[in-house]
Amino acid sequence: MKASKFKKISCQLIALTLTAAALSAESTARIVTVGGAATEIVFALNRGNDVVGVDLSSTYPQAATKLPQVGYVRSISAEGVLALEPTHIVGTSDIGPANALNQIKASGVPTSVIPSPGSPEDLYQAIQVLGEELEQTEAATQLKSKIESQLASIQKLETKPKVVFFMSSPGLGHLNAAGRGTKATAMIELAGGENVIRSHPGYKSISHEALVALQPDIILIGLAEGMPHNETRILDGVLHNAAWQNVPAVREKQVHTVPLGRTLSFGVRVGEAALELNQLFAETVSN
Amino acid sequence: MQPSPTKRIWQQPGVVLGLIALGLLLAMFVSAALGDKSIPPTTVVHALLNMEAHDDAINGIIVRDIRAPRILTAVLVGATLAIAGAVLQAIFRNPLADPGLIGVSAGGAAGAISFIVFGSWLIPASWPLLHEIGISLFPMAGGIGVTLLVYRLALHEGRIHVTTMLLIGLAMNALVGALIGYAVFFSNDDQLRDYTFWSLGSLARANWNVLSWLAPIIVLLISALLRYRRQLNLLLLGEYEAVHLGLNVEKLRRRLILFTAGGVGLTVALCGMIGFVGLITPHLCRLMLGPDHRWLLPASALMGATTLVIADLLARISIQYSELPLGVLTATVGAPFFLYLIVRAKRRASF
Repeated sequence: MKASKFKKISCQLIALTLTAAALSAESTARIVTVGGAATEIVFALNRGNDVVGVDLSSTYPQAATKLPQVGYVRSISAEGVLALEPTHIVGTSDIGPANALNQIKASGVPTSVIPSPGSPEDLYQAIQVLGEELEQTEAATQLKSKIESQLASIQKLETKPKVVFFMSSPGLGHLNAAGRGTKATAMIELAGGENVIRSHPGYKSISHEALVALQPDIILIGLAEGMPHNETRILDGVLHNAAWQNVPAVREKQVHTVPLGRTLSFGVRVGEAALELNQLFAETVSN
Repeated sequence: MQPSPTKRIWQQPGVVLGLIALGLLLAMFVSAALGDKSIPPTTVVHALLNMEAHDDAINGIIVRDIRAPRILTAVLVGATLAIAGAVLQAIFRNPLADPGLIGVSAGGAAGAISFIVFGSWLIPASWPLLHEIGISLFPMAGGIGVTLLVYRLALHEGRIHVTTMLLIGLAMNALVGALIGYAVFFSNDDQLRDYTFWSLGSLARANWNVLSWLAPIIVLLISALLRYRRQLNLLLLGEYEAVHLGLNVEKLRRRLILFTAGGVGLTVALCGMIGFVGLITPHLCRLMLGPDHRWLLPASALMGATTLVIADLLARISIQYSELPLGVLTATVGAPFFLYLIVRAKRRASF
């Protein structure tokens, strides 16, 4: 009994080692990706097995989160990246500090920096560039047409729903709303809605009264993936606020949480995310 | 001050100074040898001895172009912060006079964030050199301006009221905090993230280009400060006594504030806010050497350099492949030590 168990385990071990050896023999490329969109694209281009390190903003796909971390995209460590002995480094344009990026480039390791996507066009360009550099042009074309067809199936809405996008839980009293020029605004427009907050650029705090004045049809609350959230409590904080009972979104219970990474990264899931929002918007308008 | 015959050899100031210097060299070498990438010590020595060699070996690049400039920057910044702390403690006759507490760091921070946020409107992006200069000059000006203001306000009939000065420092910190708040409000996402990491302190901006202008400034500054060691000793006797001994206290103070605030402002611009090195290291040196500034100033500079080299090493190696913010580390170690000093002083006073 004992002997057979030992034999079984050792057989499994040998098999495992052989698979690992076969896998590593297949490719000796070692890629470090810095920035959520860069990581998503490299994985979507079937090079995920070669990725040996990612940054903190790389939360998708799940496999990426289990890899060694080189810090946050704005404050990576040059030596940390180089210590992973990469053969290729892929980053989004917000990679920094500049000094660390220069030191990495000076080491001679091929480094590609794609613009941090804020629109589908940026994303297509990034996919094409990385497809060429990672020798996956076919996969790049397929990925691009998949996203294009997803975005093409978005319904045009006659009446655009008025949307407000909060970056943090409004139940806490701090209404951090997305304004002009944000990725949230771009995503709302892509999905056929309209961000009613035009008074400020970026993400700024608005007053409780402003929400009453703006009368949004839909309130979206972005939640960071991988963090514990009590969604019911977050939604109740908005729905049961006495001051907001006349706000259409609250009255019609059109207050929703959305995953931040998927909704705002303009990465490979931009099509899915936009379609989902579009569906939500269409239902609200038809009601 | 004559060394008393009962002093053991390791209590002689010269010997203590030599030991600290030895410790600094050791810390520098250990720091050069350790990091995310394990590099054999022989390779490290080889890379350091052949600074000009241009080989493609990644180990050589890591030691020469990443670790070495960083360690040298840590030496310069640590020495500046510590000697500035020692000088400020002497001219304000106050053991709490830390660059942070009297507003130098806050002024530097206000200068830096103002430039990060508003500089891009004032200066076209096609002039990167002007940006380089601005990001160094603004914090220096901010540091000097706020410190001079604190000094002016705390000065009463030629004397500085210590409590008044600390309270004014507190008020200035709050005011500058508000200014930073405005800048944060008007900043975009990237600027905000940059400010967050910058305010936590880091030596990640160090490289040979930065060192080529930083090193001469800091060396000049420290040698200038060392020249005042005897005047500072006179000030130890008390302000009236120093004046009666022929010292122009006003002039001395103004000049030294200009030097220290400028130096600290410069380090804030380059590395963000690194707290407690300026407050703690002079105290540590005083415990070992006594209050004589002839020994205290150079010892503080060496000790500050050693502290920051070790702190930066810990920041680099404590999390694999990424870095802990340096200011967080110095505060974690510095604040409890500060508490210990206070408790110790309290106990002595009550016995």
